[in-house]
Amino acid sequence: MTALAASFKERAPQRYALVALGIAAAFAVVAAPVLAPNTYIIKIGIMTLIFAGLAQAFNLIYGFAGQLSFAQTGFWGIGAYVSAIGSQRLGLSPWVCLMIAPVLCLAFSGLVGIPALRVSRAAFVIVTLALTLLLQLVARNWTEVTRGPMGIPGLPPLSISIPGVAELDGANPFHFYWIALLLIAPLLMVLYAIMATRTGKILLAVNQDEALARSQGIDVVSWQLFAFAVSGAACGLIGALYAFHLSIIEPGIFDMYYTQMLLIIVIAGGAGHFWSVLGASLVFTALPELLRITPEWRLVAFGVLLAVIILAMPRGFGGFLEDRRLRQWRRRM
Amino acid sequence: MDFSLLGQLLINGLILGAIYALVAVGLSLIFGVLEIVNFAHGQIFALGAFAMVALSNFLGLPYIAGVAASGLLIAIVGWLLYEGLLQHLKSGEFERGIILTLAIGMVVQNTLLATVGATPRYIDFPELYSRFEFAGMGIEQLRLTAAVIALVVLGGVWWLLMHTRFGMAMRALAQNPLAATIVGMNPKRVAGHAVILGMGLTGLAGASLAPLFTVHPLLGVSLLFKAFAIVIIGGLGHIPGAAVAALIVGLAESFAGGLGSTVLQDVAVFALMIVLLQVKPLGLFGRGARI
Amino acid sequence: MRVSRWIYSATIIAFLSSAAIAQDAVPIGMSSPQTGGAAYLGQHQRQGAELAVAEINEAGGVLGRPLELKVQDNQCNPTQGVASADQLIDVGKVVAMIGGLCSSVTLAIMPVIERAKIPLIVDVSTNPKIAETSGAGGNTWTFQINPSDAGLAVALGDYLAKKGSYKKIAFVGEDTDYGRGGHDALKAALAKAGIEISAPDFFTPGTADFASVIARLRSEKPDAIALYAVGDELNFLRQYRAAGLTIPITGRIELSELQASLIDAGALDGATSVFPYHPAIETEGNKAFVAKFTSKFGEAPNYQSFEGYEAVKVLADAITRAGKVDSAAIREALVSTSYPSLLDETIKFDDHNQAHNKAVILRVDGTKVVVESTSGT
Repeated sequence: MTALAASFKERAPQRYALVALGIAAAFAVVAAPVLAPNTYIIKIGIMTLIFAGLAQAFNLIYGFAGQLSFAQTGFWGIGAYVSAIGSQRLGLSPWVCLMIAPVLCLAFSGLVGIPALRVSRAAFVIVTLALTLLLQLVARNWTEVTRGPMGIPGLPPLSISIPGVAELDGANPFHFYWIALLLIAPLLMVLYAIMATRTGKILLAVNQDEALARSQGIDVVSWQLFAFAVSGAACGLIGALYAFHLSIIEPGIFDMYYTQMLLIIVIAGGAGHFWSVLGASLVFTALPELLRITPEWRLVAFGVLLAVIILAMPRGFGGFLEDRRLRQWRRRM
Repeated sequence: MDFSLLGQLLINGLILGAIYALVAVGLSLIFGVLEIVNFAHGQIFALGAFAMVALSNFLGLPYIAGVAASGLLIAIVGWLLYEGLLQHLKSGEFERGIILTLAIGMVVQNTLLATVGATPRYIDFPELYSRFEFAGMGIEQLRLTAAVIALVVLGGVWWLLMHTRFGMAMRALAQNPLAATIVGMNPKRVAGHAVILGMGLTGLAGASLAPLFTVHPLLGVSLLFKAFAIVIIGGLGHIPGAAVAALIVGLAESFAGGLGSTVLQDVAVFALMIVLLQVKPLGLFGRGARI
Repeated sequence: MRVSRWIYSATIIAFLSSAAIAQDAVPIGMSSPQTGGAAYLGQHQRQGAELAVAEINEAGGVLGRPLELKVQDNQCNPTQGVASADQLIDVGKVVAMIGGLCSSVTLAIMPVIERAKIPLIVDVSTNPKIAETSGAGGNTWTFQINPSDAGLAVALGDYLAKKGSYKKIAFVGEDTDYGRGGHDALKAALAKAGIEISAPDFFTPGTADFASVIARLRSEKPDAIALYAVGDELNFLRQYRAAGLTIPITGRIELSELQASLIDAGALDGATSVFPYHPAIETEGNKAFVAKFTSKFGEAPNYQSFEGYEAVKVLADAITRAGKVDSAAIREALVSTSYPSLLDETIKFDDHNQAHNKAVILRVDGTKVVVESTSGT
């Protein structure tokens, strides 16, 4: 015990450094629009926020609940189309759309999740992939509502206007960054709360040994359904937000590209780890932009990296850190 | 009712189905033996089509030689992929298999986009424009050749699986991996054969269709799902089932497009899959599949 | 020591003067497909614009400053289109823009440039909704110099009515604003001429297999097939030829070197198409343009090259008349444009910011494309 206490004391300066780093990072995240030299940089910031939220939603269902879902892109597409159809075609306020999208996705993912989670893990993959492709097909062919491949352009900006308190113009990317942060930050906190507490541990336990979890009286399917629905709602919300960033939505929103991005972020970061996945969202969204790699070569590099990681380091960076921590701890004991 | 239209759609559907069968049998074979759903299958198809473009436009190979050479080339790609990557997967690692093949697909597709570009390529064989006509129906010589190649190759695969040690080992491993190992089979070797054969068939399909359409790196994207649907309809891992389902899907597409509209073609495949899974959740020939 | 100081200062002067030129240049943007199915068209549009920029800069630029063309790829995809426009406005700091070639992209860009208050010259897209929603229609920052589908459809309808041999026409078009807008406009125009148009068949861009549609067309036996496609027409027409169809093609496809393999084989004999341009048009201005373009790029210009060229010229004219490099002033000047087109028509914008340049009816005679007639739109 004393050894453990000593080790904590010993590591105190390291802890302070970590806290200081955290505060600096939080400051940089909030002050980004002031620090960013131009629109290009701030737009990378917006995309980083969006992928950070999306990656954690995917982390919840894949990293924690262990279900490889291709439906998250589908839910995010639904959210985006809710924004587009609601604000542009039905004349609803963008904020109303932003509220409808997650509720609709929660209900929809719950509805889909019940039959989908009863089948095996493998069939779940196929069912969720089919769902996303079916949604894309609907978006492409239900022209009366979605305008098909032409897409729905000209979405109104998502602005905040509270006289005397805040005036944020959604058409201005510097302002939009704060609006996005205002939505993504609480979402990340909620997801973190789920992952870091008992719920997260139950999900991980179910993921590691379903039979054992069941024998302990854990209702496996209910917990998985919970993760699937929460993740779906989060994806819907972020999709709705993304639609206002793009100002146009077309069936490309259901593209496999987004799933590929989520996979590389979560797997490189370490499925089932919050902070390293958060770091990976920054690395994989911002770095290729800043290095000015063309989209094709970027995806080639991501593909190679994904293959290497899945073969050599399947638990990702987060798993590597955890192993190191365990090793150090054992040595100290 | 216009019978020559129905006849024409029947012919088109059967030909399309024969080529789909190559793709689906390849997918089914890899799934049956390795338990990997190959997410790179569409890109392997596109790679086959590009091999054909290169071999015939630059080396001047005639149609049949080009198709055979492309199929062989893609089989070698399959061998390399197995030796380099896929053999490291252990059994039961279903998700890892998907992610790994997805990564392979990303690399293939985007390398093609970055190097040869997205502008469509085409191959003009004179056989494309010579036709057999009868009773108001017609068929391009090239389309017929493609279908004949598909049927001959499928027949060959069938013979291989049923009557050779090579094929029987594959079937044994697919049916009961434990027993197959106990009787002294080398599962790695057999799995390697399945990947080589499965990818080779898909490359062959891509090559045989290449002159009929324009060829671009995204050619296989829509095909991947069609192949999944076929394999699910036929019963996962069931090889004759995949071939039969391929014909059904080919016909459904042809009739939906010919009697309805182009957009109905994709809808038809989906509708077919959803309805069938309601009636027979394991697919037409599924025998309590492992997934 | 002395020498090195001399080199040093010379370098600085060279650097400063090059910086001065770079800073001095008037940046104009172009959102155009440089990759994807429509890349060929986009690259030709770019070449036309580059030729115009080179000519203007050789003659001293605009307001004494050189023009600088910044091109962003839009892949003919609306989302990429918006991203390309954002990039040109935010990073490129362009004062005006040309684009986006594909109708769906142009319609997606229009709200972006309106919000940013940057004038947009539409030079290739033809969907009637562009002009309908411009000028008096609301978006005062968009100007269209090419005729719209509405104008072109009237020209085609008149021609087909006069020709008199078509009673029933089947429609095949891509499922985009180009195909759908084209269908509506053609249907209205043909109804006046008493020509029936069948239920449209819209296909997703990038469709590989057209066997089913072609089987249906063979059975329906229409008098002609109206084809509206940008990028997929080659794939369709190769399969049309392979299927041995002889039903004449009409509609809005570019009968350019893209289709050369089919035209040369005589497979498109009798095909007609209404287009805003063809290099064979016999005006003095066009002859000179074709000669200059051919000597610079080694091939004849197409519709996109011509419009890219004229778009830059119209824009330069407006900047000169505005007297300053300012987006709002350029917009004001564009409203009162009166620019002589190479087709001997004056480019003037109506209250929907739509100019009415000529429409050309092209016909394939054996293995040759001929200009059948030109008319106003």
